[in-house]
Amino acid sequence: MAKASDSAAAGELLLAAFNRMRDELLSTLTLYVGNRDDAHDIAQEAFLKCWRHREEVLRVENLRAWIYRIALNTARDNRRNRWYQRRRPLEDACDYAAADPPQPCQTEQQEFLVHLRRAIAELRKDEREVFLLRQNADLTYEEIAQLRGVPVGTVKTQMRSALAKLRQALQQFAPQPAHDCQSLKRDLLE
Amino acid sequence: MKNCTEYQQLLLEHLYGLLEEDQRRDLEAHLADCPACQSAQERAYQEQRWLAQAACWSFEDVRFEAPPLSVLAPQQTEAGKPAWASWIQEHLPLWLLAACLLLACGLAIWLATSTSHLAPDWAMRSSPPDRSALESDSRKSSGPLTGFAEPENLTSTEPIRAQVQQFAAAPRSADKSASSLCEAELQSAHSPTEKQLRRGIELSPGAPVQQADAGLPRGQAGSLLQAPQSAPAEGAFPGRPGSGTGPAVDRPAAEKAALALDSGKPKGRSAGAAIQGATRQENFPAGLSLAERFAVVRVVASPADRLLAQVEILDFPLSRWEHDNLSRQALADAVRNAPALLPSTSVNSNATVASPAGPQSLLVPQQIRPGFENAATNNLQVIGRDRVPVESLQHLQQWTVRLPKQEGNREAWPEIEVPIESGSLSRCISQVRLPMNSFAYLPAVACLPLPQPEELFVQVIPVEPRELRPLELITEVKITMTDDLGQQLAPEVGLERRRYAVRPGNDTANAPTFVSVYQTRLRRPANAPSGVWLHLRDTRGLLTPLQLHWKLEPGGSKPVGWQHTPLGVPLAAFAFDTITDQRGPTSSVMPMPAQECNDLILARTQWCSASPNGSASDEAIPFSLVDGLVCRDHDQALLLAHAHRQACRLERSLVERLRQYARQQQTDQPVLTSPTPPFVPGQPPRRVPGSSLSANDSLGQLLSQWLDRPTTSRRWLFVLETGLVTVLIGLCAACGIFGSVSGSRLHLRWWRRSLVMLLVLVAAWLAWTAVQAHTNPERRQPNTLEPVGLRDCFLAQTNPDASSARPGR
Repeated sequence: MAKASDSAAAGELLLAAFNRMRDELLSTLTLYVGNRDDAHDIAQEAFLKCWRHREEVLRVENLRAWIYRIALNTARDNRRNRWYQRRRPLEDACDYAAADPPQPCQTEQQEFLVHLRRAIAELRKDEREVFLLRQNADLTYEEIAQLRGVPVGTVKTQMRSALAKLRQALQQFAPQPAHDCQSLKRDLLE
Repeated sequence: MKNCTEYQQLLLEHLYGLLEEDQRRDLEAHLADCPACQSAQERAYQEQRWLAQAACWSFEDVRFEAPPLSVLAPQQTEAGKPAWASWIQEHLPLWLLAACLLLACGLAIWLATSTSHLAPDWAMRSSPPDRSALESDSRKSSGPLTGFAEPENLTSTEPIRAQVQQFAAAPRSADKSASSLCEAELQSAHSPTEKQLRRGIELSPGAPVQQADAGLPRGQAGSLLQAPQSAPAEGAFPGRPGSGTGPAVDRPAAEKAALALDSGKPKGRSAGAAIQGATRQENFPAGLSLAERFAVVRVVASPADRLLAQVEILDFPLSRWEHDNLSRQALADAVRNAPALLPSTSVNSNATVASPAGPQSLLVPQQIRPGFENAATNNLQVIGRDRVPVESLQHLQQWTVRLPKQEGNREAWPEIEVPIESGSLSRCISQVRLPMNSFAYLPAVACLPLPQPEELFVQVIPVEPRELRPLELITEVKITMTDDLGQQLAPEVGLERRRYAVRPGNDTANAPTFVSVYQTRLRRPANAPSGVWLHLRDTRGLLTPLQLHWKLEPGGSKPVGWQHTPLGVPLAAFAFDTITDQRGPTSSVMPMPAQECNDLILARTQWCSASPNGSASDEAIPFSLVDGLVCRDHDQALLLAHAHRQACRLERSLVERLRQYARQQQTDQPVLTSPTPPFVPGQPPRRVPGSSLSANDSLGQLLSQWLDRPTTSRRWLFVLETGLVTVLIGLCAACGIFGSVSGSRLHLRWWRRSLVMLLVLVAAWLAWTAVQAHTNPERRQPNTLEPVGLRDCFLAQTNPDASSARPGR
C-alpha cells in the first residue's frame, strides 16, 4: 500500500514538474532537434520513460536535471535512429516565426527573434546543448558537466563559444530602439 | 589594466556566470566607476532577455497527463510485435540484412573449410555407412558365426587402440603426425599389460625367451607372453580349410601361463603400420630387387562398430620404400650408378622404376580384386569398396565389411578370405585369409618355382611390421600340408633357419645387418589334389600363421598359388614373379634369391651353434626374468624393463592424447572411410591426402562434418559453436557497417559489444587450449599429434654394438 501511494505521489510530482517545465523543455527540444513535431514526440517519449521509472523520482536529488537528461538522451537516440527519415534543412523544418503569435507592431522584433533562434539552432551541437541547458533548464555548469559527462571547463568553454556566436547574431539583427504605436501614429498625423 | 571595450566584452559572460572570481571583482569595480560600461551592462541585460526570449517560448497547447495503462504496456508496439522486431524492421534496411546474411553464410563456410583439415580422415568421408541398416542386418543374421569380442570385455584402452588402428589404416601419405602416433601406439601396443608385469611367472625351459636375442625392437618382450590366436573357432567357416580344422597349435607352457593371466581379456587387434614404416631409406634391404612387389594386406577393426572391419591391400614395388627420402628419378639414378647392388635379373625392373611415364608402364597389378567367398555363408557383408591411387606405383584397395557376430568362443576371431584372381601378383598369391588376430611379426613369404612341378621352395623371412624391415628372429616355423577339407597330407615339416648378414653395398666398414630366413623344399604327395593348403605356423607365436594355397594349373608346370593367413597386423608378401631368370635350386640347400647379390654375406648358418653353452637347441638357452620380461641376458633384461616402463608411460600419454584428439574432433566413433577420392581409370593419380581441398568441396565437407557427427548432441554442439561464431561475426559486421554509415552511436556500441564478445570467445578458446596443454605437456598443439620418442627407448636391433654385445653372437 505504501508503495502504491509513493508511486502515486511520484507520478503527481512528475506530472507537475513536466507541466511546469513544459515551455522550457519543449523549446529546448525544438531547438535541439530542429523540428517541432520531433520535439513533441521526444517530449512524450521522455515523459513516458520518466513515468515508467517514476519510483525513482522520490530518490532523485535534482529532478530538473534528471528530466533533462532523459529528454536529451531520448533526443539523441531519436536523432540517430531517424536521422535519415525525417531530417530536413533547418530553414524548412523549423518555422520559428510561428513560435510566437504575430502581434501588431512587433514584426521587427519577431523577425529578430527568428534570426536569434536560427542562430541558436545553428550553433554546434555541444554548444547548443550547453547553452540550452544553461538558459532554459537553469542548470549550473557543474550540473551540466555531470549530465553530459564532460569537465566543467569544457562546458564553460563551449558556453563562451556559444555566447560569442550569439553576440554576433545579436549585433547583426538587433532591432532599433523601440517605437510604440502611439508615437508612430502621432508622427504620421503630424 | 583593461579598457572599457574589453570590459564590455565580458559583460554577457558575467551575466551567465562564466567569469572567474578575480575577473568578476575587477569587472564589478570598473562598472561602479564607469558610466559607459554601466550603459553597456544595461544592453547586456537586454541581450540576455532577448536570448531568453528566443530560447524559450510558450507551448500552451501542450499538457502532460498521466498516461493510460495501455500505453505503458512494456515493449509492445501497436501491431503486437515485440519491440526488438519493430526496431529491426524500422531501423535496419532489408539490403543490410541480406548483406549480413550473405556475409554470415560465407563466414560459416569459410570456417568449416578452414577447420576441416583438422578433422580426422573419417570426417572427410562423403557418407558413413548406414549403421542402422547394419544393426538391423546383424539382427537378421542367423548363420553359424564365429566368436567375436563383446565391447564390454574390452579393456579401457581398447577403443583407443582401435582408433589407432583406424589411423594406421590410412595410407602412408596421410597425416604424418597421425601416422607417427600410430607407430608409437603400435609400438606400445605390444607391451605387456599390468597383469603380465607380475613377478613370479614360472616359465618352462621351452618358453619363448629369445626375443631380446632375436633383435626385437621396441621392448616387445611382453608380447611373447601373449598367446597367439592362431586357431579360429571350430566350425567357424565350415568347409573352409584352415578355419578351425587346421593343425592344432602347440602352445608352450609360458603361453598357457600368459593365457591364464589374460583369461577373459581379448587380444588387441593391432593394425599395420607397414606403409608408414616402409619409407625409411636406411632400412632399404640391399640385395632385394627394387621392382619386387609388395602386397600389404591388413584388416582393421572399426573402433565405432565392432562388427565393421576394413580390409586393405596396398600393392607397391619395393622401390617405394624410399619414397619420402628419395625421388623416383634419384632412385633410378642411384640404381643405375650402382648396379652391383642389385641382382642382374632386376635391372629391367629398375629401369621401369625410373620411368616417368606413369603407372601404366609399370608392373602394377591392375586387377587385384578381392572377393569374400565366405560372405554368403557367414554373413560377411561387403558394405563398400574403393580403389584409390595413393601415389604413383601404389594402389590402395579398401573393402569395408561387416563381420559376423560373436557366438560361442570369444577367443576366436572371424576370418576374412581375400582371393586374388588376376594381375601379376596372382602368380604367387591366389588367396589371402585373414583371421583377425595379433601377432608380433610378419612373415614375408617367397615361393620359388622349381623345375619339378611337384616341388616348391618356400622361404619365410620375418619382417618387422612397422617398417617392413627383414630382421633376425629366432623361432620355430613349421608347415603342414592339407587338402581342402583339412585332411593332413604329409607330416609336418620344420623350416630350416638360416642367418644372413646383409651389408649395404660392398663397404666392409659397415656393420652387417643379420636377417633370419626360414626355408624348406616341399614336395607334393602323389595322391594330393591339384590344390593343397600349406599351413605355416610359428610354434613360438611370434610370426603370423599363414595358409598358403598351392595350386597346380591343369597344364602348367609351375606352382601358382599360395596363401597366407595373418591376422590384424599387416601381411607382407614378397613376390618374386618379376624376376625373369628363375634359377631353381638344384640341391637340398636352397639359396635365398638375394643371396646371389655381392653384398650378401653368408654368415653362420646356425645361430644356436654359437650359444653360450654351446648347445644347438634353443630350449637350452638360459634366460632372465625382470619385471615379467624375458631375456637371455640379465643386463639386457634390465634395459628391456626400463624401455618397457618408458613405453608404458608413453602409452598412457598416447591414450590420453588420443582421447583428447577424439574429443576435439567432436567424434569418438570414426567410421571406416577412404581418405582419398574415388579412383578414376585413365586419370593420373591424385595425391589427395594432406593436400588442400577445392572450394567446391567446402559445403560438402560442412555437410559431411554434420553427418559424421556421431550423436545428435554433438551435432547440435557443432551447430551451436558454428552458429555462435557466425552470429557474433555477423552482428559485429552489421553494427559496424551500419554504425559507420549512419554515425549511430547505438550501433557502434553494439559493434563494440559484439567485438568484445568475439574476443572473449577467442580468449576462452585459447585459455581452454592452454589448460589442455598444461594438462598434457606433450601436446604442444591442439590438433597435432606428434610422435613421442618411443624410438629412444627401443633396444633397436639396428644398433650393431648392441647386437654384437649379445651373448651367443
